Amino acid sequence: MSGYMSKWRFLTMFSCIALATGCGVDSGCDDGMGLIPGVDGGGDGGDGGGPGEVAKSQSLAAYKDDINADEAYHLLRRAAFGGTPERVNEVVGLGLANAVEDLIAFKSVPGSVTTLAESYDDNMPKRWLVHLLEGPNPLHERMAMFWHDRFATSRRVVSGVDDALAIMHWQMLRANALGNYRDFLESLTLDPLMLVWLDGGNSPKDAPNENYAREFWELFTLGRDVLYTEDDIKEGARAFTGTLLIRDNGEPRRPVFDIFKHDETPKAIFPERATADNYNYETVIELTLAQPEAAQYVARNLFTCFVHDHPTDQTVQELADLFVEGDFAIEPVVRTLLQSEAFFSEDARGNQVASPVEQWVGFARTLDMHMASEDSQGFILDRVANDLRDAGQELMNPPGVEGWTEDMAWLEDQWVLNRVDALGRFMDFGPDLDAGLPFHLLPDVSRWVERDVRREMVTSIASVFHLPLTDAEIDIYIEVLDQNGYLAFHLEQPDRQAQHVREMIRLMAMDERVAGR
Amino acid sequence: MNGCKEWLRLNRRAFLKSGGAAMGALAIGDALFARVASTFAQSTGGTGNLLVLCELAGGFDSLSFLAPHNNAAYLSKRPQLAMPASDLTLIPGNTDYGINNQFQFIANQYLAGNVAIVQQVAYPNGNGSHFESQEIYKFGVRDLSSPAATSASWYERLRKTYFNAPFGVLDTQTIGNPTQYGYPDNTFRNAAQEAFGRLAALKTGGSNAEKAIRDTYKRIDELGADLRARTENFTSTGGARGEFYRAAQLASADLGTQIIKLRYGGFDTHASQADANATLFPRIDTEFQQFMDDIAAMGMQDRTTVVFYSEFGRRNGENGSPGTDHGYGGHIVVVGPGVNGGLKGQAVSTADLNEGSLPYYVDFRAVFASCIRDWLGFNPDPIFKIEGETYDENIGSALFS
Repeated sequence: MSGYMSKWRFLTMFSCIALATGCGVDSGCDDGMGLIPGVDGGGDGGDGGGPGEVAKSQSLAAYKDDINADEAYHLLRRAAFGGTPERVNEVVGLGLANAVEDLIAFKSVPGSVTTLAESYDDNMPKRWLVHLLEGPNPLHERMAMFWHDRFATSRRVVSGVDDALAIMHWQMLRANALGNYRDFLESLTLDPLMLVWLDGGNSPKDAPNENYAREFWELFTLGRDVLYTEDDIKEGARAFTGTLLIRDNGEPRRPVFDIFKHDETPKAIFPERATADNYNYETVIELTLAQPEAAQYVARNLFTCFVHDHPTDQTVQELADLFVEGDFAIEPVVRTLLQSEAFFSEDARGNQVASPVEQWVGFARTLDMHMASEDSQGFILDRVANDLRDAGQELMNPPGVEGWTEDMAWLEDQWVLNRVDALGRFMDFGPDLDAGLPFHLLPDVSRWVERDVRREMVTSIASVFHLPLTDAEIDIYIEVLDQNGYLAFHLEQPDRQAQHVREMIRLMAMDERVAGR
Repeated sequence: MNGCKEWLRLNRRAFLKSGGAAMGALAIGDALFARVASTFAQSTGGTGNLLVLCELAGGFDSLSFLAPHNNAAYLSKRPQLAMPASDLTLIPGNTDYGINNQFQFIANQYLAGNVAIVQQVAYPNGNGSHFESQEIYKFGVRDLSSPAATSASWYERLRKTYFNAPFGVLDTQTIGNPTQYGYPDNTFRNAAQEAFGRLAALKTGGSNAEKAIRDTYKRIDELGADLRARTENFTSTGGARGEFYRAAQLASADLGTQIIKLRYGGFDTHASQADANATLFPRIDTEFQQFMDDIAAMGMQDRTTVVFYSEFGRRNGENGSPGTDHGYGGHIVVVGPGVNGGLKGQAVSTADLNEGSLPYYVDFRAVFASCIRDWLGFNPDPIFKIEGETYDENIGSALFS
């Protein structure tokens, strides 16, 4: 894994801009990198304005409402992992503004989904995967994953000891995912799993633990080396004292704020900007949010998550202003991003590598594949969770406090290969090998004996992925259906055909335009 | 993002220059460093030697490997599990310790001068969690909250810093069966596997992300084909088919590999430890012997060093099960013809045995750093001294002759 690429990409970006002068051999100059902020450049696919005009790739202005099917699919992939052809049509019919409202509106989760998810109890990867796959609120799940990666906390510190804390943490992430950032930070600070993970629950006032204070600024609110100093961390650690975990009668540990365990003396935090005060966890959150860098940090990260990795300072500031005006409500920022010209600009298309979980969920949500009742024992899901772990991403168990290293860093050989296994598991559902195929998206089975059906099988799945295949590519997929001419598809026994189709779909789902988005 | 790669490359070059100069300065009056410095002068590519890392996962009981058979504290703390001298190969000229005969091959190698046993190794503020301690060994840092340090194992860091060959580091567990490495194909006649490579090679253009994905596919396809072809005719000197067999397969592929990582589990012997060891120890010893025979058959024996290590040692006293619980300090065993054999580190004393667990006197990074510097010929500082990490570099005496 590339250890040098931060998901907080803009920090890395700045250092690269300074050093990768003249676009080195690899950089190709076509990714918008190295542009001086505020100056429009070659990355905009020619959409960009003259003097005084904002390039489309940086524009937060509303995009046209009547989006086409490809644009609808782009929206669904970025905001909801993926979407079936029916869902794409629905979004086109709604128009952009209504479609975004529809994504944002929280819909009650069917009891069957909740029941299935709860059957996995504290097995968090599986429990969450059920919601990601079958839940009616994919944007909320996507945002919860976004925050999970930013506020990265692992269940491994309570595994076998207090597993309920992992469930509570996950519920806290999902409850706040599109809510108010201030409330979110307060919940996060008092979250029992977080209090264990970053030692906030074990920080005595006579010898405070600096772990939480440091990550609070470095990872959660400001960014590495932005504004805070080592002295601030020492002072901040004193402000965060008093948050304890207590345990009654075998119940999960719960947080309390105990003023007698809190350092009640003045702390000088950001001394050049604020006078020393008797800060506690609430007021230190307030003080942090009062710094412009905090809103900029969130704005930049949300932009990068949904759009592309090179917003200008001006774009970030515009988004940050919106965030502050809304009193740190997350939803308006997301709404603006999903409807923006930047979101649909050339720079924002196909420029991200989906994480293993995102690709797997997107695959299922695009091909309309679901948890089958035959998997009530969780047999397949168990293997999927293991495949995704082996592909580099085990939900609720990030590798460290910084979460997963995203994007190109997902492209480790073995991780990539394990994605293929995960994609194949879906089609393992059911007592017969063929039970899990998305038959409704394929030519009718009665036609599988026709020679010409092979091309149609390939193009029907390609169109679901919005994948424009060339004839040369189609021919290669037909060879997979024919198993290199060894077992001609249309002449093959019906019980063998499903295996051929499965291999063709699985391979197509690994196309760089499907694994990328 | 590609600009970052460029930056890294520049950084690496800049480092190698300054690293070489620093080593030159140290070389004055120090024979060991003089040799290392000359290695640096020859090539930035190191010695090209092979380092095999064998992780004994679960917590290897060092006191069952190198037993202080005469020590009264040992005998009283382990009434059922203490190893009697009759089960040991005694260390020549030393009345205190013997190597468990269940490791007969390693014991013989010790007598031949090819084994260094670094005693009482760990890291500061021991952590009793398997998971955390294994990560500390894997990432080569004490502070696991350090993001940059914990994004890749220390051996991956080493590869990326010095020998960026795609197969420079191979892990037998991730590779699995090398004769089948590549796109997981369930078709006849490799139809999907071939299509995977052909599709990636066919296309051009697209976004940087799309190009990067395709480049990964091409690499997998090309090297997978290479690895499969190079390992399919591998023949071993013996019949064992464990992780060491995989390691021998990978070593035979001649793909510029400098580190092979493998892992044996089952060392978490909380109960019935004697029975567990009676199965585990001879199995590893036998499979290791076969590996060394295979390596010799390839003519690589003089270029190979194998390091056995574990996330922690076990408790000095046995529990009622009878087994031993998680301890702290443990021994690292380094084997190979280039090794300066003998007992290294800090010998286990009565005072150490009177503790609950063996303490630690040698930082594990000092051992790996010596392997990097003296066996592979690279400067270990950029690998372990990152993100503010420091460690005691003293082992006591040189591990390599």
